[in-house]
Amino acid sequence: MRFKDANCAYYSYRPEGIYAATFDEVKKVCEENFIESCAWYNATRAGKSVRAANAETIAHCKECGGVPILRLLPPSFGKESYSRVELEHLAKAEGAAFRIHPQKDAAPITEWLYDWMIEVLEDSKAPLLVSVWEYEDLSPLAEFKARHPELVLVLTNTNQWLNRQYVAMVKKFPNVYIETTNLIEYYALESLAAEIGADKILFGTGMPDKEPYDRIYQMLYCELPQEQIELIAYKNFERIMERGIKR
Amino acid sequence: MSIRDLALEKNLKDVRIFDAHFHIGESRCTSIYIEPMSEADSLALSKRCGIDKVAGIAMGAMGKNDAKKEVDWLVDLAESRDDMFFYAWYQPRQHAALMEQIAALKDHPLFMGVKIHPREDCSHLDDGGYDQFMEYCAVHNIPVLCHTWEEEPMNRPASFERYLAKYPDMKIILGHMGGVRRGCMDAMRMAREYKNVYCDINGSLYSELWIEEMVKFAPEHKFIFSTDQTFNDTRPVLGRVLLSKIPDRLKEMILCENIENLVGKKLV
Repeated sequence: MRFKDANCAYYSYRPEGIYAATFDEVKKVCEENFIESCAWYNATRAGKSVRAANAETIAHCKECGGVPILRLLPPSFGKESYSRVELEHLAKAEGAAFRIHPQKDAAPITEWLYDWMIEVLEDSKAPLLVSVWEYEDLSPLAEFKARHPELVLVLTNTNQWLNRQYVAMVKKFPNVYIETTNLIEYYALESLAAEIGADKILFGTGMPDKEPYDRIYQMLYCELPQEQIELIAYKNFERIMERGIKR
Repeated sequence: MSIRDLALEKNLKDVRIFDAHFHIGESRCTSIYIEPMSEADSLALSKRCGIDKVAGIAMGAMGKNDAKKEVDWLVDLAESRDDMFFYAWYQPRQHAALMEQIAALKDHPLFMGVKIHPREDCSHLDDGGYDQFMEYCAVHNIPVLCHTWEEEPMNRPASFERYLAKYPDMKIILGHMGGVRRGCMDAMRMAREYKNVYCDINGSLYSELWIEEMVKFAPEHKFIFSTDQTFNDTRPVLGRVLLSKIPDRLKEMILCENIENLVGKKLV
């Protein structure tokens, strides 16, 4: 059994109720649970600038070989966001992926707001992660995706109440993927692999806001053919998140 | 060998596992897509994942359906198998028929208690509609399993305080333990404060509580394992218990012993 986790984060402190929260703590849990590599995100939202929090993630990933997921803010304020040169470097040379928070950062993904950043993401094939939990309705995201077929979009933390929508998005638009953190629908992996294909599903745990055990067990007792299990467990991660970039 | 190792080896035959919240039957009232599966296939899947027996809830009893008829169907199904117990159903708008049915079923050997789902039944725990039912269950020592979710005002865990003020020893299983964090914290507080309030751990996925930490917030004998299938996948909650770092003794309690002690009978 081996896994690569497309939706893993860490905090700079340990919030009450979370058993493993800091980078070192989460990394240890990964090692104990057959997770060889992760896409890491700094989920701490206070005490540091976004650039500093992202820089910490890049440093951790250089050390452990993981993929940095960087919080992306639109270029509205030059002091908090990246320049085009910086973003191109991060997306290409550093092999970073990015995460937006349409609701938490009040920054929905639109052309007028993200401007040239969308072009950089499309050109670099850097995955853009967005949590389905930040939407009550995926229509605005789907409409945006229709205009940007080359953009690689990973829908994280899927919401079963929107399962008709997120499945349709993956089916209808190219380069849209989901990950397993919240796949709690009945017979989820088998049902979704049949509907959208195992090549569209990435293993993800959602640590440290939740444990990885649910996902490990779901994979372990999954009733898919071995080749499809391997796609979900780590091969899709290698193709979409690692992208063959040497880190 | 530890329970975690047994689970990893797919060798759970000596680990007793009872699913205390298992929906079965046609999914007529759901606003989400649920993978259709026959009752036999659904129970077979549970077995393949390590679950020995289940407490069934008639999916068709929810909402604007004839709940009594659906419970009758469920009882027939449970009686025809050796791996299933059942919950009766109650909702205020079918009061007379359902109370009569509960009275008739309460001494049945496969009876677990009564499930209520205020959200799906367009009812509200606070509006008095459940008063007579709660009194009956308190007097007859019948466990009540309620769907609870903090973000749904009609069935928040804390709404049970008004019943517990009158019947402090009544047996209540807080389904999903309120779901999100605030609901889970309330559910665990009530499990600490009241003798017979229990936390049904499925649904606590969104609480930002790892199970290793969650079990510190309420007495160990107050946590009950269940899956909420077929709304939810069979495996995630099972994995949360089996693969975690909580002691094996506690896993045995959560997976089967606690619910056996609650209903006062051997289930597995």
